[in-house]
Amino acid sequence: MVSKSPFDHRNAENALAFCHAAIENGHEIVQVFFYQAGVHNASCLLSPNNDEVNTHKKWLELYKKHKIALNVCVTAASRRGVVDESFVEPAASNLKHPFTQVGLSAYFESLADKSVNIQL
Amino acid sequence: MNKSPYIVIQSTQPPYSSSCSIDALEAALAATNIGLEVMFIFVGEGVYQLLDKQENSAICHKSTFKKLKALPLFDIDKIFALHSSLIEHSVSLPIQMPNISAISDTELIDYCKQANHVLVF
Repeated sequence: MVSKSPFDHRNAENALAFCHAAIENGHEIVQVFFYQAGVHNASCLLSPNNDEVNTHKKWLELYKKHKIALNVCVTAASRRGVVDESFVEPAASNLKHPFTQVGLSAYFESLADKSVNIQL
Repeated sequence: MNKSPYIVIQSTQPPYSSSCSIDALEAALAATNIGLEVMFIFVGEGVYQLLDKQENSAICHKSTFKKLKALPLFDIDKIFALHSSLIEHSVSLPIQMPNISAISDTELIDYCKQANHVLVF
């Protein structure tokens, strides 16, 4: 679970590093779940300076390489203006594939099968 | 001691300075909604959520305390507050929440050790 916004915290960078390290050590990551201010990681409108870490781009790279589900809490996201096409016109949405809006229950369903939860 | 599978949700922040208290509450409700057993524990400044006379209307927010009182209605009846946090912040267990009880630091550690998952908000 990623619960802090990019730029304001190093939380997302730590989560990305953890994901890569876990996979390199043979673990399977079922999903990355973005909750609270962590939903800002999913916004495709994030525009860091060229010399700064672009966490959004790094999440996309993680998905492209390992096909890890990037699930975003729909309630936390809509409260913060991170919305997909089901909320606004497609051109106005800032949450796009591979980020996917899901309910909190989907997150807890993945915890129910004895998987390990890492909250960052 | 609880022997069946359960998750611990620690609520560690005061009620109105951030969204953490409501995020913890919503996470607890979502977990019980799919049949998970939840142990809800107030830790640190989170015990300020147990004060029943906060003037939430002054900042146009709904009462967090009222929402907490409804936890048993959602099958969350294992509700605790860390005794040392209650003492530190001079907060008493509210009589309007008869299901809540105080636990020691050792009990908190034991509950977290035996839980399937621990979430901290």
